[in-house]
Amino acid sequence: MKTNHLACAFLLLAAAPLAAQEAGAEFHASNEFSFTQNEMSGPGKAASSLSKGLNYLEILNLYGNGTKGAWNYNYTVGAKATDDDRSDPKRVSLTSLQGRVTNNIHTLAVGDVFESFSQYSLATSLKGGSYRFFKEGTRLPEITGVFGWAYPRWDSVWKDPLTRSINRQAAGLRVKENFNGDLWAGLSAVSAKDTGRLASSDALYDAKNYTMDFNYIPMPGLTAAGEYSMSDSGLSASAGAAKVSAKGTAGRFELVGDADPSRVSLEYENVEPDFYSALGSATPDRRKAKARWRYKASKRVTVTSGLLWYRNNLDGANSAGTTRNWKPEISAAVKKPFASRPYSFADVSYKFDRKYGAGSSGADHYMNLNYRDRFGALDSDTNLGYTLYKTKTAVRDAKELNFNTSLNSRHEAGSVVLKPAVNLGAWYSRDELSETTDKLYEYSLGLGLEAPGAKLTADLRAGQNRLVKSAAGSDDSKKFFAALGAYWRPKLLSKLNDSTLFLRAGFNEYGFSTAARNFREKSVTAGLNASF
Amino acid sequence: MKKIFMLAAALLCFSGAADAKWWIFGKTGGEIGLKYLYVNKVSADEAGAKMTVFRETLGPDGQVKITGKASVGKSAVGSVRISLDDKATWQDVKFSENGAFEYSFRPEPDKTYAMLIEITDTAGKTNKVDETRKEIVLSAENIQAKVREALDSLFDAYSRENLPKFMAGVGEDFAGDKGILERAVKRDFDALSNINMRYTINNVAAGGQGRVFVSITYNRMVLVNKTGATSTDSGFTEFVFHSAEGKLSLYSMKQPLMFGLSDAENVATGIVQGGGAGTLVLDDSGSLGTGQLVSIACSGTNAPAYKFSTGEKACGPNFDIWFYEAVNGIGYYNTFQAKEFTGPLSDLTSSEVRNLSGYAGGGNIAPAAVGNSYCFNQGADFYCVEPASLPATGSFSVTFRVKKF
Repeated sequence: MKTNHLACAFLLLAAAPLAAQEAGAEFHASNEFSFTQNEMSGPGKAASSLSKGLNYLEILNLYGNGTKGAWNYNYTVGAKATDDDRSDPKRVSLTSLQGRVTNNIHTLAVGDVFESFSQYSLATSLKGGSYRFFKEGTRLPEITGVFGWAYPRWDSVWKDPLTRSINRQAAGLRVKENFNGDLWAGLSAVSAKDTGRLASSDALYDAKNYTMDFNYIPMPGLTAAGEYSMSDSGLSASAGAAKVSAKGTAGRFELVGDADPSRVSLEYENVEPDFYSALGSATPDRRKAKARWRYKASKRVTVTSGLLWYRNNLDGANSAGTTRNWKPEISAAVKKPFASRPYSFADVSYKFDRKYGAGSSGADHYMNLNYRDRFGALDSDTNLGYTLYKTKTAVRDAKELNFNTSLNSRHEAGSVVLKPAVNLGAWYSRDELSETTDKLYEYSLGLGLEAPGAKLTADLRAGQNRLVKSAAGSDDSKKFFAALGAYWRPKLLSKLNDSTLFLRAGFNEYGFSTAARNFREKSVTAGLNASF
Repeated sequence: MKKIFMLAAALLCFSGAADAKWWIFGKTGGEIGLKYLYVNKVSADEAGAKMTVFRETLGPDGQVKITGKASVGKSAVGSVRISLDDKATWQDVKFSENGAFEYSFRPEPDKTYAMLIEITDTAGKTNKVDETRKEIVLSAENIQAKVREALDSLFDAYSRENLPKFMAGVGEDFAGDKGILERAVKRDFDALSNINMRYTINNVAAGGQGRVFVSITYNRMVLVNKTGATSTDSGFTEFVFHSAEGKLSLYSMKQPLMFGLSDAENVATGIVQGGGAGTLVLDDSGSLGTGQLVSIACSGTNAPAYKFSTGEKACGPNFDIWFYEAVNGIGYYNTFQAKEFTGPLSDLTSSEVRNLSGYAGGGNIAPAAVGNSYCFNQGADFYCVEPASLPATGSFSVTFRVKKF
C-alpha cells in the first residue's frame, strides 16, 4: 500500500481550512479511510467476486463557499484511492471537481457540469464548463450554454489507459422563458461528436438534438408537461464502416391532477426507432401510454390502479416483428383492516403482463399480499406472493410461490437497546416445460444493539439458505452467511463532527452438490469516517 | 404524433376555462391556496413532508429559494406571508399582481425550518395554512454521502430481494418507467439468488432540477436459479438521482444495468461510454440472456473441458464438451447431439434451439468459429455455447459463453 496517497489526502485536509479563513467563507471536509482483509478458500474459490488479501479504500471530499465583492463562489473536490482492482482499476482518482461563481445574474461553472436541460436533450454530466444568464424580475429569458466532454470519470479526460473511453465532445444551448409563472417553455440545441475509437467494433456517433419542452399549471392541482425532440445523427458502426445518417423524433406528454382524494396521471410517449439522444435519456423504438389513478377512498383505504401499454417496431422495419405489452395493475392499501388491531396494515396487489407478437405470446400474473402488525412486543411483516409465468412458445411455463416473514422486537436493558429479529423465507418454482421443481429455503437471525451513552450501534446477522433442484444432474446449493457491522463515535473524536469508527465483518460459505465448486469467503473491514 | 399534441393542446385550452375539474374529483379552482410551490426548483407537491437540501444543490450564494404562486379565485391577493419557525414568527413576502412570489433564505446546517405559507385575499380570507407545512433541512452531509446512502439502500434491498424497499428508492418519474422496472426487478428476484454486489463511486455531479449524476465501478456475483451456476461481472455504470422527499430517488440508469436485468432494453435509457452492454442480462425464460462467460486455461495440449449442469471445468477430453484448436473444433460426449448456428447466442431463440431438426451425433463439431453458436442436446436439456476465443498452439485456453435453453 502506498502511504504517499494518504499523506496527500491529509495535507489537503490540513491546507484547505487555511484558505477558507477569509471573512464569510465556509469550508467542510469529510474523509473515510478503511482497510479490508479478504480470504477465500476451497476448490471453487475462483467464483468469488472478492479480492484476496489486504486492501485499502480512501475517500475524501472537500466543499467550500464564500464571497468576493458582488460575487459568490463555491467549490467541490473529491478523490478516491484504493489498491483493490475490483473496487477501481485506478489507484488514485478524482471523484468530483467543480467550481461555481455567480453574481445572481451571471453564473459560471467549471469542472463537473450537470446542466439538466430536459430528458431527451441533456440529462448527463459533462466535464467542462457552463454559463447561465438569468436576471430576476425581468422578461429576459434564462440562457444556458454548456461545453465539455461526456466522460464517465475524470481519468478518462486525460486518457488514462485503464479507464480510457471514446471521446464524446458535447455542446449545448438552452433558452427558457417563464411567461407568467404558470407556464414556462424551453428550447434546447445539443450536439455530441464521438472520436477516438478504442476498438474496431466501437460505434461512433455524430448527433444533434433540437428540443422544446414546457410546463404549464392551468389551475391548482393540475400540471401539464411535455417535450418534443428531433435528432439528426450519423453512425459509424465500426472501423471502416460507412457513416449512416438517420433522423428521428421523440415526444412525451404528461398530465397530472393531484388533489385529495385523487391523484391521476396520464402519460403518452413516442420515441421513433431512428431517434438518438447521445446525452439524454430515451428508450428508442417505443410508443407508450400510461394511466394511473390513486384514490384515497377513506382515511384507511387507498386504492391504486394503473394501465401501461407500449409497443416497439414503430416503423415496421424490425425483422423480428412487433411486440406489444399490456400491463394493468390494481392494489389496495388498508390501514387497520382489523379494527381491534391498531397497528395492522395490509396491502394486496395484482399485476398482469401481457406480451405478444414477434412469434411469442406471454401472459404473466403477479399476485402479492403483505400484512404488517404488532403482537405484543413483536413487529411482524409477512409477504406472500404468487407468480404465474406463461409464454406459449415453449419459453416459460412456470408457477412460483414466495413467502417471507420477519419478526422484530425492541428491548431496553438499562442504557442499551437490543433489537432481535428473525427472518424466514421460502421460494418454490415449478417449471412445466422441463417438469422440474426448484425450492429455496432461507432463515436468518439478527441482533441489533444501540448504546446511546457509549455512542455505539451494531448489527449482527447470520443465516442460511438452500436451493434444492429436482433436475437430474443439476447442482443443489447452500449458503451459510454471517455479517457484523459496528459503528462507534468515541469521545476522543468529538472535535470532528460525525466522526465514526466502523467495523464490518462477513463470512459466506457456499456449498454445492459438486464439491469441486465449494468455497468460503471471509471479509473484515475497519475504518474511520470523519467530517468537519 | 401531431394529432396527439393538438388534442392535448385543445384539452389544456379547454381546461383553463372549465369550471368542473373532473380530473381532481371535485376540487374547484376558486379556493384560496397555492397554485404551485417550488423549493430550489423541486416541486413541493411531489415532495414529502420533509425536504432535505444539500450544499451542492444550493445556489453559489448558499440560499434556499422558494418560488410559488398564490391562487385566490376571482378575488385578488392581499398578502403573502411565510413562517420558517412553525408559525412563531411571520415575514411578509413581496408578490406580483398575478400572485407569483419568491423568497430566499440562507439555511444553517442540520437546523429544521418548519415552513408555512399564508395567503390572504383582499376580503381577508386565508388559505389552509397547515396544508402548506414543509420541513426544510440543510444536510450537514455532503452530496457524496447522500449518494452512498441512496445506493447502499438500493443495493441492500436488491441483494435481500426486498421489492417494496427497493421500489421505495425509485422515483415516480423514473425515465425507463417505474412500472416496467418494478416487474423487471420482480423477475430478477425469481431468477437470481445469493446476490452479492459492491461498488465504489467514480464521479458525482449535482446539477439543476435537483438531479445528481453518479458514476460507479461495480463488482457482483449472482447465482442463477435455473442453472444453479454462479456468474460474476464488473465494470462501470451510471445513474441519475432526483432529490425529492428528503432523499435521493433513482431517476435513470444506463447499461450495463445493475437492476432490472430481465427487461434491460426498456429499463435502461442509454449505454455508458466504455461500459459495454453488460454481461448480466436475463431473458424471458429467467436465464442469462447473453450467456454466462466461462474461461478455462490448460497446460500443454490438454483440451479445456466443461460440464453444463454444474459448471465444472477440467483439462483433457472430459465432461460434456471440450475444445480443440479452431480447425479441430469442439468435442462432445456421445450422449449428446449437436447443431451449429451462425451468429451469437443472443440471436438464438428458444424455439429454434429446441427444434431437433438438424441435430446430429458424432462426437465432434469441426471446424469451430469464434462468434458462432454451437448447441448440444441431451434428453430434454439444450445448452448452447459461443466461443469468444479458441485454443491455439502453445496456449490451450478457451473463453466462451454458455446458456441453457
